[in-house]
Amino acid sequence: MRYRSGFLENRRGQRLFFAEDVPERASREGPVWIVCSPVLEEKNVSQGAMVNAARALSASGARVIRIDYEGHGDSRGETVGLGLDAWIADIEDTATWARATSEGQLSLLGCRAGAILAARAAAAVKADRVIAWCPVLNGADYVQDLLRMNLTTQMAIHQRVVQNREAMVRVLQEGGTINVLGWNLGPALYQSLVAETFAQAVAPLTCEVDVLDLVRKKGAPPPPAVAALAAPPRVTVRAVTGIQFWIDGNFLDTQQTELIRATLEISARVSTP
Amino acid sequence: MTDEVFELVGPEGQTRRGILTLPDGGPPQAALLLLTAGVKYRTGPGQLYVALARRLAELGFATLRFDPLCVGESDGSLEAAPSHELWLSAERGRFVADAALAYEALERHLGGLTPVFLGGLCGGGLTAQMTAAALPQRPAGLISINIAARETPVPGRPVAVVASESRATLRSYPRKLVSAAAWKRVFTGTTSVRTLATTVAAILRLKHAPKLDESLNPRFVASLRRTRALQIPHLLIFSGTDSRWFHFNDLVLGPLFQGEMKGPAHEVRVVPDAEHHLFMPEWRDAAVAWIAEWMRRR
Repeated sequence: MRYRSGFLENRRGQRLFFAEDVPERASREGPVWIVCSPVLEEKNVSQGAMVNAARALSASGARVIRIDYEGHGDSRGETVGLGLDAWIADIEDTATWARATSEGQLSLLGCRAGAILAARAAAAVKADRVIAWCPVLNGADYVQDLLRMNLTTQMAIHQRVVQNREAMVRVLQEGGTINVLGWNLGPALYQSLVAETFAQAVAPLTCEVDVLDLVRKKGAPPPPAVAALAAPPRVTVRAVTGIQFWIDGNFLDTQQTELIRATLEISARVSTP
Repeated sequence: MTDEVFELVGPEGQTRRGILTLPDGGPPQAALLLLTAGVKYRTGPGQLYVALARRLAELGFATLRFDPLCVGESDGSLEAAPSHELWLSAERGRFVADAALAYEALERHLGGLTPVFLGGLCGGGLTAQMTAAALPQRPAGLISINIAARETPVPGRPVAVVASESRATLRSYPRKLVSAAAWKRVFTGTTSVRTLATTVAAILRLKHAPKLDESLNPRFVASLRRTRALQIPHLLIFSGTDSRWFHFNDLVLGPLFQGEMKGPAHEVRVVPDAEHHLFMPEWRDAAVAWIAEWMRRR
């Protein structure tokens, strides 16, 4: 397996960091995966798991490309003026870049909000399949999670809430910015998130979509809201055991053995039609 | 400025990777090697390292944001483990050998003429200090942000609270006295009487300990002593609301720095209202200004 990293330019002229793992005997016709990371701080926390997923897929014979969206990771730009559309475009630009040297089936692996981005980009990049890891189901709920993180930081600094949720939403609606764990968020991201759900993003797709969600207990079913996404044979839902790897918790597991094993099973179906 | 992928292969054949940010318009005045904060990869929490590197490049400095083995883009991967065990492994020197390799590689890459500083946030600052103490050559200096003087506590075990920390907590008490929710917590037994007692007891203690406290990480103390003996310049930046500042202020500043915020080889700066990760842009701006000014002087 060979590793290569560098920078490619997106349509807005910003340099995006990419890393790719390529099998030793890769051919132009071999399968290609683009890994679509979570966004904001979840991207940083989940980095190890996404790297391990890419390495495992590559070891099974695929060319695997990871990119940092504009304003994320080692890529240029700032998140403050950007919304989901910008990062969907980054995935499309990466696919165009990949297609210049690969003609094989292209699939997308998206994690958390990255699953929404992958689903939204899938049609434009003519993806053969989307695998969604623990997708963010509802953008509006996700915004509430982000606001709660801001509140937690306020409590740590001031030992009280200086700006409550309603005030923060007002700031965003009026074109201002708020800071969540070091990330400056603006109205474009707020507006695009509150209007988005994973189900809506998946609905128009004609390719197969596999949703993999984490549960604590072996054999436990996925939560009802996730199970409700199932629409076989196009959309399948499966739960595997594991610990959330995108939040700073008490236990860090970047290995995600079960999740990656399930992903490899799906990927084997893609590479051997 | 320019970002470059930086790679180095260790003696066992595995590759460590980082991003070197270089300023425009000629060679850098100096370079800063930023080391892993906890086990977070090279961007730092909330993109802190990216922000520092880019702002320092605008001021003429190079920065290498570096991943040791098992972290970020470098070879290997972290074992699944409780977070506190992973942080402890960093505080006990897990990344020192790789930091030394990166330091030597960066110095070579820049032609041996550019002064190279070591630094990082929290455990990254400690790795920098332990590395500086162990290097065969003397680095240009150390820049630590919220350096961890104590080891990460084991969950569930009581932690001794220091006076500064308790006084900071006390500031919220007048508000709590008129808070219905706070009184409800008292009457329902949710408020821990033990925590209250610990806070009051800590307030009564001296702010600056007269001698080194047993709760300090022995590796922190040993490497700090060594780098001071070697007169390696050290800029220590702290966030005013962070427990690392309270620990350093109460337990280290007195015994090892005679309570002096500035000396021939050290300088302590505090961002008053900031939290541990310097989330707000203005806090990051303050840190960058101090770092740039301090590196220039050296």
